[in-house]
Order: sequence, then structure tokens, then C-alpha cells
Amino acid sequence: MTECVIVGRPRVGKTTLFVKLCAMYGKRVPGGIERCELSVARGRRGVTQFSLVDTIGLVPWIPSDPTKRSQLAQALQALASAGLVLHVVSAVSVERGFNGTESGIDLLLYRYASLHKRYLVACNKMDLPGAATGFKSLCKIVGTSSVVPIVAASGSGLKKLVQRLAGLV
Amino acid sequence: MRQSTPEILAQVAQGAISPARALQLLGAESATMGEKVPPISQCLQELNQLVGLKEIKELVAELYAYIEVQRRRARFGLTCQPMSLHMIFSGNPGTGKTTVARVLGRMFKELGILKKGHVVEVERADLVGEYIGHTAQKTREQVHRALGGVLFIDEAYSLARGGEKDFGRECIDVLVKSMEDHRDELVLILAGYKEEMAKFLTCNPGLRSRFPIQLDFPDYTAEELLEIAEIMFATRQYRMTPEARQAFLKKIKQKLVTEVIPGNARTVRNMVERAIRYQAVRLVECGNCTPEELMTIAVAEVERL
Repeated sequence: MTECVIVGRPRVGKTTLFVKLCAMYGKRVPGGIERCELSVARGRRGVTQFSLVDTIGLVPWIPSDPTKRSQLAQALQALASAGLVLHVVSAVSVERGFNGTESGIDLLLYRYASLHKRYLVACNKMDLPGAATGFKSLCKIVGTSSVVPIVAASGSGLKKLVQRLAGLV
Repeated sequence: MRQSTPEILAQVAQGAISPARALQLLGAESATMGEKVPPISQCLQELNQLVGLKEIKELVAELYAYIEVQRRRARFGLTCQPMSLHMIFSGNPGTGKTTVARVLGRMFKELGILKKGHVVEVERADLVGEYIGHTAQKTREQVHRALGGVLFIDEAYSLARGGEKDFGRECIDVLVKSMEDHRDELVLILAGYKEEMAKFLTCNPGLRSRFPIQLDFPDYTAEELLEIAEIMFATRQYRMTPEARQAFLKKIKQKLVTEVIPGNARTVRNMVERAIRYQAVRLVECGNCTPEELMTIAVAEVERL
């Protein structure tokens, strides 16, 4: 089954999105990493199934806590082995992830994933003030066609997001 | 040295490298495995990330649009003339000529104009031979190496410098002929200082018309150089404090006045690397620095530049 990994910086809403999608489309699978299998109905194209993997937020520095480090290694492992990458970006901190500060971890993710994987960006927190500008600059960076605006907490935009993901499986 | 994915991940777990570095390494590793070429939007993206160079970005956008439209015309059976894409880049050293040539090579490959899209960089010594007949042979060799890609001749004006008896003339003749013979397989880019290139083109009237695209690379302004410096710091995972930023701008402005070749990105790179060394000297004494401290370039370092 194709694996779709959710990646991004800390606190952009990866786990919120993961939990929401699992509740809407799938069932949890027990195991070390947060994983869940989704079944998406796609009209005449039938049902597409893929598994979704949640990961810890990527930070640019080296954490002193060994558990945290092994979690980061796990996240990168999931990223390297996945066929499909769902990159979650917070609409209110686009500049921080793609520019110099925080060492542009989003930029690195984008460069890696857009080149080597099937790739989609979810622009989260679209309900916050200032999100529209962030969304626009994100579109400029990664191209409008690969960004889906969502609000993970309320669930808006998720239907479209899942359809796009299923289309890439 | 290339590392495998498990090795890189083990290093992250041990705390030997940061996740950001790991991402870069992972990218490099799979690039050698798949030899994937970035999609066209990525080439344009890469170009747009370069600071300044407004004119060049516009021209590249034009070229891209033209080629794309030609392709759509061909789909409906309309005639499309192949366009000559040989170019002249004039500008001071360190203004981005080679960088732009590399991006163009990749872009032409993506668009299907060139088969390989690689850039062969040569200078006078690679083209001009030592005895009669040697030059033609050497030049042809380089042209063959570049087939399917871009032949980038740096300091091209030096080919016409030597006078009547100089072998450079022979080289130009061979190049002109190859441009016609391999029109679909080769893009020739001549680069050099502005004044010298202008002189070079007047010395052989056939030359100018064979290079329909002539791009001028202006010197960078102080603000653009500061932006370049910030990008350089960021890619090395450093950042300047606001005061250091001000001081850096002041230093650059001073350099613009004193330097022989102003507006040069290479000078800025040297400044950036020196600042990083000074910061290391400052921090080597402190026992347990925070990541924050290790990433910060303070005003003291910049003042010493």
C-alpha cells in the first residue's frame, strides 16, 4: 500500500490533521509510529486506499535529548521511504520556514520532496488573521497547483485535500 | 563522500548531524541514484531565488514562453522557425554569469531543446593550440564535448586579442562554423567584461548578428549584496543580529568605494566566511553554548572584517 507521510515544522498542525483525517476516512493501526489506513471514495474511480503516517516536527538544530533525536531519525526514515509526501505549513509562519530563520527547514523539505517524491503542500491555519498573505507567498514559492488551503482544527478543506492525495497515490 | 540513508539517519539519532543537514544529504543521495532533473518550474524558481538580475529573469521568462508556445504551435501543424539561442553575457566577475548559464542549460533540457543540458566551461587555453592546425582540432574537441549542452566560453574577448597572426582567429572561425553545423545541438555562450566584449564583437562583423541574445549583468548594489550575504549565512545556518546587519551594510558600502571591482558577490562570500571564522574564535572559549549562540553572528565579528 502506498505510504503518505505528513511532515513539517513543529506546531503547524500535523497531528491535528492526522487525527482528523483518521476520524473521517480510516482506522488506526497499532504500532510504534502513528499510522492509519485511509479509504477514500472517488466517485467513478472507485475507492483508493493508502496509509497515512504522522511524524514529529522537524527542527534544524540537534536536540540534546536522545529520545527526541531518535524520533527525528524516525521521521526522516518515514520521509525517505514514503512514496507520497504531505508537507504541512502554517499559513501564518510561511516566511519563517522558507527563509533564513529556523534555517529554512520548509525550504529544504520542499526541495527534497518535490524532487524525489509525489508532493503536496497543505497550507494550514487559514482561519487566522494574516493567513491570506502567507498563502499567497507560499503559492509563489511552491507553485499554486501544489498547495491546498485547509483548517485542520475545523476540518474545512480536508475533503479536497484527501481527494488530491488520493489522485497522487 | 556520499552516505547511504541508514548511515545518515544513524547520525541524526546520535546527534552528529542536524535534521536540516540530513535533509540536504538525503537529497544528494537520491539525486545520484535517480539522476532526476528538476522540473521546469524548479529551474525558474532557482533563477528567481538569485538576488537582483531583473533583466535576465525577464528574458528567461520570455524565452520560456516563446519555446512553450512554439511547441503548442507545432502540435497544430503551424510552422515554427528554430530560434538561435546563442548568447553573449557581459559583466564584471562575480555578477552571476556562470550561475545563470548553468540554470539555462538545465532549463533548455527541460524544454527539450538540448538533449543533456550540461555546461562545458572553457577558456582561451582550452581552445587555442600551440601550432598551426592544432587550434581547430582542440576547438572541435571542446565543441564535441559540449554537444547536447551549453558551451560556455569565459573571457571570450581574449580569443581576438592577439592580432592577425594569433591562433585565436582560427578558433573563432571554427566556433562560427560549429554554431551553424550543430545549430540544434549546441548553445554557445560567450562571457566577459563589458567593454572588452563590445570591442571583440566589432572586430568581427559576422559575430554580433550570430548572437541574437545579449545580456548585460550589472554590478550589485549594496542592498543586493547584503541580501546575498544573508542568504549565504542562512544556507550555512547562521544569522546576523540586526546591529550586525547594519554594520555589514556599512562595510559593504565602504568596499564599494575602495574595491577595484565593485558589486561583486564573490567578495561578499569571502566576507561571510571570514565573519564565520571570527565567530568561531569568539565562541571557542565558551564551554556550553546554546544553538542560538552558535548560529548568531554578532556586531563584533562584522566590525573586524
